[in-house]
Amino acid sequence: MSSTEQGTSSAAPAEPTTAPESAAAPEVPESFYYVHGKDKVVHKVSAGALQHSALIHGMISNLGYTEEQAKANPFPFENIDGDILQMVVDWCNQHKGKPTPPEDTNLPKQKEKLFDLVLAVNYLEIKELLTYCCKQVAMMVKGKSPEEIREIWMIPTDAEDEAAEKEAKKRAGKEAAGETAAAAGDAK
Amino acid sequence: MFKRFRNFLRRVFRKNVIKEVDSVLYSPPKSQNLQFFEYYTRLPVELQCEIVKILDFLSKHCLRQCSKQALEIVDSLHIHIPIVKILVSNILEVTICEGAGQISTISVAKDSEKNVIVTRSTKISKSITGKIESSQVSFEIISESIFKSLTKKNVTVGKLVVEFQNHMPIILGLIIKYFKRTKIITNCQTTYAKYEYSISLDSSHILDCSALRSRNSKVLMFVVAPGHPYVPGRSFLLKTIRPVYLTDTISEFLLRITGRNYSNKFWFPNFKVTDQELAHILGKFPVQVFRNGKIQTLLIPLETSEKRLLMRISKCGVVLEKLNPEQLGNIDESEECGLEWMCRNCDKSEESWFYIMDLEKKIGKINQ
Repeated sequence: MSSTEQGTSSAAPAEPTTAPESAAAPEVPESFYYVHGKDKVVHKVSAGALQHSALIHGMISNLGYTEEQAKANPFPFENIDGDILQMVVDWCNQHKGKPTPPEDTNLPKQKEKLFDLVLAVNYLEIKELLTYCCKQVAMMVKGKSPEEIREIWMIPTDAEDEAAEKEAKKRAGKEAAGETAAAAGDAK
Repeated sequence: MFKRFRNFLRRVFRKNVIKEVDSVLYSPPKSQNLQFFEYYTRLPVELQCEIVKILDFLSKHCLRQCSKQALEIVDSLHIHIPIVKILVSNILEVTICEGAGQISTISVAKDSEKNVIVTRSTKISKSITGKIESSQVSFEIISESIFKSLTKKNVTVGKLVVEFQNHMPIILGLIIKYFKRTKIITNCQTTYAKYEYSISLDSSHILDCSALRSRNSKVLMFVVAPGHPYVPGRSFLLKTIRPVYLTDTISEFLLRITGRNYSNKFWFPNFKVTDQELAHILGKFPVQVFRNGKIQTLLIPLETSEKRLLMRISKCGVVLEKLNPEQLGNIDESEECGLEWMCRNCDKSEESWFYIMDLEKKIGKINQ
């Protein structure tokens, strides 16, 4: 069952704000779904807004999730922080049924939040928002020299990478030696 | 033993030269306010690829030099550059057009002490905005490095427009060597390949600008005349465009071209015909008028031949074209303004954007 079919068959009352009084034709009541993040705070999102997320849209359309079921069991996204999920939900609501503009200036300025947002958006498969986020990260290094790019994105040099790899190998070797020694001790 | 040592020296020397060339070519001026994002390396590789995709060609090249992983990411992506323009004068100027508004220009020149100077710019014009780098590496090695980077396995160039103002056989040899698979269009002037027009901007083709200024004429029109510019490997007919200023009113101009053997096509981008002028034309000529939406088409008979003069008036501008009766077809059904790539409203392709910019740059230079 598709999400639009659910919308027509559900007995959920229409939101008073969504139905304009002047409209002559009776409007189809919009269906709502519920999602929660790591903080377990449930967010109510309309089916139209959720269309942006290929993951959730696929879950609704493929699993035949009805609105009642959705209300009782909100979609759990345990790997997404509550405030990040809120941000994503707000963005989806803002751009519901609208063509996405070429640029979005409302993305978070804090690095940690931007990082979490990129991961969350990638997980939820929201293509447009992911493009905005990637653009914001890419613009940081546009027109910069290799040294500056390395500095901005903290890219380790090949020498640093090799040193880190060697250290990791050494550590793994030591751990393995320790484990074999412990196993031999147990056997004795 | 000696051979090994010699090979070792060669390898080291080559590596150093490549490093120096890269550092000269792809080093923009240092900026002061850097915004750090240390989480980039923690992102999954697919997301890193998504970010790198958005970068412009030169930034991708800078990133390539940062680490092995960055190099692998950049090389794994397919890069398509719709237009590359190479201008060979006393300098080498390579303009990379990745899309409308996405321009990078690298200029390589030699100074009086034979040092090579490399300039980077994000504008189509030749004005030097980037940092000037001086290098001891030869002009040819730097030029070759640019061509190599544009013809890597993962890079495709849609069209290469080559403009030779000076004869430089080494550069021509390098272009032929590296751009084997690219459609090369070359001419002594700029060629607008997609539309098969070349623009002729020799001073002899343009009316005296100072005399025009005294008449306060600001209407610029483009006269299209057939021509045969040289295309290496293949030769095909290109039409040459000449920019000319309209010195009289449109009806006077019509009178002039209907009575004489003149060029076959005239473009007037952004030209608006007033109601008064239109009434004057309708009163002066035996005109057939067709209207299709916002496009008005006038058909004027010519005195000198059987051809008809087709005048297409739209919000984008005016086009005048001499056509044979069999070429007229369904002129009343046409919904195109007829300005082709000169029209910003109707043709939104990258090439159109690039050609208009290039044309504006040249016209601007003439006006100065």
